[in-house]
Amino acid sequence: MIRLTDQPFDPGALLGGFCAGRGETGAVASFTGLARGEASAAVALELEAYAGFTESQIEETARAAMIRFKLQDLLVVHRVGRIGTGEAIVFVATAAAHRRAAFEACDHMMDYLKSRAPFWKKEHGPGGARWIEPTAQDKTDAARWDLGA
Amino acid sequence: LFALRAALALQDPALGEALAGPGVRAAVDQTLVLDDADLSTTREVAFMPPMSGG
Repeated sequence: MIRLTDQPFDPGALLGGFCAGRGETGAVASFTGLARGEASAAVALELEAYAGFTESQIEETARAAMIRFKLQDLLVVHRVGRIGTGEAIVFVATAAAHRRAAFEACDHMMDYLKSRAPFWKKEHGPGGARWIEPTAQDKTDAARWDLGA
Repeated sequence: LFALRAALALQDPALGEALAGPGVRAAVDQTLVLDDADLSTTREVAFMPPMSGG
């Protein structure tokens, strides 16, 4: 359900595999995040995780999302290490009986991954490297899903 | 955890200041904790700067 990898992955192949053999699923939603070039200001991204802890934290949120959105299945694949411009960083797929739950759960997982999951992102550009923090928008996006919000 | 922070800050004031920064979280044996956590049976403590993924 949760996979971290330091190797490039093929989002199309992941989606194909995720959709295969589903007799009871009416909707699969997916999201693929790519490393954006920022008009060549960024040459590469580097993502750090805290081995074991990062997976278990994502797992906890994923389990809660399975219940909250009545999902049948959920897949998160996230890169760590150095990621070149244009490569996929993150892939999320959700399976549900109906589309609304699949869309919302996918959106929710991405908002969580962007600003609350234990990853640390460094941007390597022509002028050197800098650590990236979540934007105010990322935080607002994640807060949309807080219960009682 | 208070005591560990204080000891680290005494050894390395710059590190102490960084650990006290906004958004720095702490985990004890891979569980997120608050500053008053008891470390008597702890094997691993992690201080984590603000997170950003995807």
